[in-house]
Amino acid sequence: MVWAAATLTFIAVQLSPGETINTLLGPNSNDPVLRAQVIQDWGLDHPAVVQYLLYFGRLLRGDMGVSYIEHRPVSELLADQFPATIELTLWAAGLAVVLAVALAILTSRPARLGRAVSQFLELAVVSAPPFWIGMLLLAVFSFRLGLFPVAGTGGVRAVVLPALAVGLPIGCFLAQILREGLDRALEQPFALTAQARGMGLGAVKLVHALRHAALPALTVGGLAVGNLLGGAVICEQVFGRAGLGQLAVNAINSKDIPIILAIALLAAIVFVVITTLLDLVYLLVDPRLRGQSQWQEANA
Amino acid sequence: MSRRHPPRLARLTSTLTATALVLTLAACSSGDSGSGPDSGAATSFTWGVETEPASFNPFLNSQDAAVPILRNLYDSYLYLDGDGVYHPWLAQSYEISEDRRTISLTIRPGVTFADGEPLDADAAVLNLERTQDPAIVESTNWAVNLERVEKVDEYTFAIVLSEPDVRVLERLASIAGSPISPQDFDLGVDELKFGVAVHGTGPYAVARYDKGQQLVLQARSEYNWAPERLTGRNGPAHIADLTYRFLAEASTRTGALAAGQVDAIDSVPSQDVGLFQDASRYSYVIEQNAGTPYTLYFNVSRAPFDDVRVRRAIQKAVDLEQIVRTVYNGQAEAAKSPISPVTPFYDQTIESYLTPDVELANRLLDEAGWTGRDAEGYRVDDAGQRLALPLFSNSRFVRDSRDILNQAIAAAVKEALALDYTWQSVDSGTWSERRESNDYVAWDNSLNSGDIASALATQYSSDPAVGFINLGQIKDPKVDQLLAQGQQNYDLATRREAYTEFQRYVLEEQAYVLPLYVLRNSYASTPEVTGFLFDPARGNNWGSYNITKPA
Repeated sequence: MVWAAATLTFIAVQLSPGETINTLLGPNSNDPVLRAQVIQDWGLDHPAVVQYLLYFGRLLRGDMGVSYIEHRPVSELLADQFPATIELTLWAAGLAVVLAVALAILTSRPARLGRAVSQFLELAVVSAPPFWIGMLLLAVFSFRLGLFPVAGTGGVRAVVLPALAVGLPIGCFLAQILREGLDRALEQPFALTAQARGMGLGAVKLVHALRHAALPALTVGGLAVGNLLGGAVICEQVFGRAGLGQLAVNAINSKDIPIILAIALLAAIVFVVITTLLDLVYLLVDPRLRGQSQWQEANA
Repeated sequence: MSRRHPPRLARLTSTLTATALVLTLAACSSGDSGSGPDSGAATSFTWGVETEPASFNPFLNSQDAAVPILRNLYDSYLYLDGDGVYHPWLAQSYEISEDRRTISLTIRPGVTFADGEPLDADAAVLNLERTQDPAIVESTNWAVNLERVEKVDEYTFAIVLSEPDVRVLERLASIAGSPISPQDFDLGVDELKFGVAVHGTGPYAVARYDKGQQLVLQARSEYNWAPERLTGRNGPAHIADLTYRFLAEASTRTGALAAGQVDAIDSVPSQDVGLFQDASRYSYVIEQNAGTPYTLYFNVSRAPFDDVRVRRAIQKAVDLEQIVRTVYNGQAEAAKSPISPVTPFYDQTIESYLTPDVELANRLLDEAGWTGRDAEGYRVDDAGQRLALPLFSNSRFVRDSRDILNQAIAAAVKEALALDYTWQSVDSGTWSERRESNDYVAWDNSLNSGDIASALATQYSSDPAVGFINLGQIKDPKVDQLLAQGQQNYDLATRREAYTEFQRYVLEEQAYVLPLYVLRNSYASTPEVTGFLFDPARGNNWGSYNITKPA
């Protein structure tokens, strides 16, 4: 799958209009000396198939090439930018999960009024463009109240607002799914039984129903977190943060093929890792899946 | 021929009050900064800037936005003033031979690079030789007439040319011609090109770089070779710790300044200017750039702009003054010449030519044979062929509200001349494909440069090895001759004569171009910040050497 992603990206880049050499040279693209030099430097005189084979040959040896534009090894650029992205992703994901669980538990039935208010706010946040949420957070918490720095470097304090900007919409979205799951679980006989045993409604939700509701939310949430890796561009821009998103956008704009391919590879790897992790978490959450083989036998 | 010039006289060519403001600021800063910073001054300063340089190597300086940052790190041999005069700088003196083909420079002794290496003739010769190598520079255009560089004695070297070329002087005065430590040429090509590890002779050295976030510079205590004609003083920079934060989003920059999280910002968007015009809380400065303004170059190699009457009709159809005022909230000036008003040799007398005359424009189109109208009301010729002008720009360079500007122009032309004139932004791949198949009617560009000679050569020369971006495809012996006259002479009078005629010929007689608006940079800071320096030749900010701020 990882290989397929990289190959598709390679083909897409080759098919997109314009020659790489022109982008590389920018305004000086008619300078014949420079043109020859750059074509030779980057092996652009080879046919696309040869470029492809050369690229994968190098990749197998762990060499991702050198950025056309930035003149730095791609591995170094990724190593530079990845930690910032991971940091933001983890904070945002953590925040989204806490928010989703809290909202879902507090506003699943029978809380009628809270539910209506919460649903309205969730819809508003999910529909709002993320950069606008980011600007709003900055305006209030950084510019006006001075609680957080505007940009990049101040450790944990600097990550709070970007994590909110990215995590809020995901959290609200997950809350909607989770609440629906909770509602459905609470209709099941086991919920009534548990309450009949004298268990409080809150405890029923937390101990029993949440587990049932978690499966669809996990699936959606996992994919959302995967998306974060590339989707945080706007947030990076608003908050002046380092990160992969900005790197990817710049690379695509300037046809910086080594970086585009490396990021496609990385994204594919991340998705593989996340789906694998999800499979494992499903097993933890849902005991029925653990006994699947037995269950199948029983059905046979 | 020895060249010793009298001190520069104040020149007030522009009518923009903002320019006057800049001059006042510059005067203030040079007046009060003769000594070092007083004890109550801040030792650190933070800029919030829009653009993160793609490279910190001075040889790869195609990004104008990088220049004010790189000027903190790199010095030049010469200093070009706002009148077009080249003054000594790292070279304490220079001489040009009688035949104008040998330039001898004597380096000021005691200049060192940030890694401690001395700048001497050996280092200078090595730099000039290596920067003709296309593997490490962006353009070798400056060296087309360079025959050789030779060491004369420990501090003197000579540049020998095959024919006189003022662009060599420009190179010696520009960031791209700044010397770097001889040791740096031993770096790998990629490390050299990326440039964070490269050492210049400038007042600052790189202390730390976090990609996507910030560049932190540290003042060099031994620095004592500033261009005093500009700075009015010498010695180390006032601010010891200088930080450039990269804040791509305009509202983040304005917010960060308003909240006091940065001391100054660049690229203030026109719509936010109102925020910063309260002089008691902020200083706000606009600087007009030198070089060529943002200009529409008609593609004269194909119909319909091979006809001077059609070109002139477009020139005369729109009231640019009014459009530019509206689009830029009064924060930009309509261009009236192929060169910017802050460029030396700018000719004020041609300003009136672009006064709109819709009647004349329509008459010109009629004369050119576009007399009929089709069902939709657009102009057609006798054969019923519509005069279609589909303009497009490379989306990579559509910034600074140029999309709105171009759409406003399209609407105005359509209304005034009943022409099917449209504009759209296309991705750079599509753009370069159409460019290669000559499938475009016009192209838009602006080029900031120190000496106007190089900007005009790349955009107007018919020699494909020089006119890299002559996408108007102008092949005109008279243009070439005027360019040569301006480029092969160093005395101001001969050059002025060439460029005065050039402006008239290109704009009025041949109507090759439609200048649109003058590029500018804008800065805002808190009012107690002083010492912004203005590069009078390029028309942009000159590093942070003189900046001070109370603690």
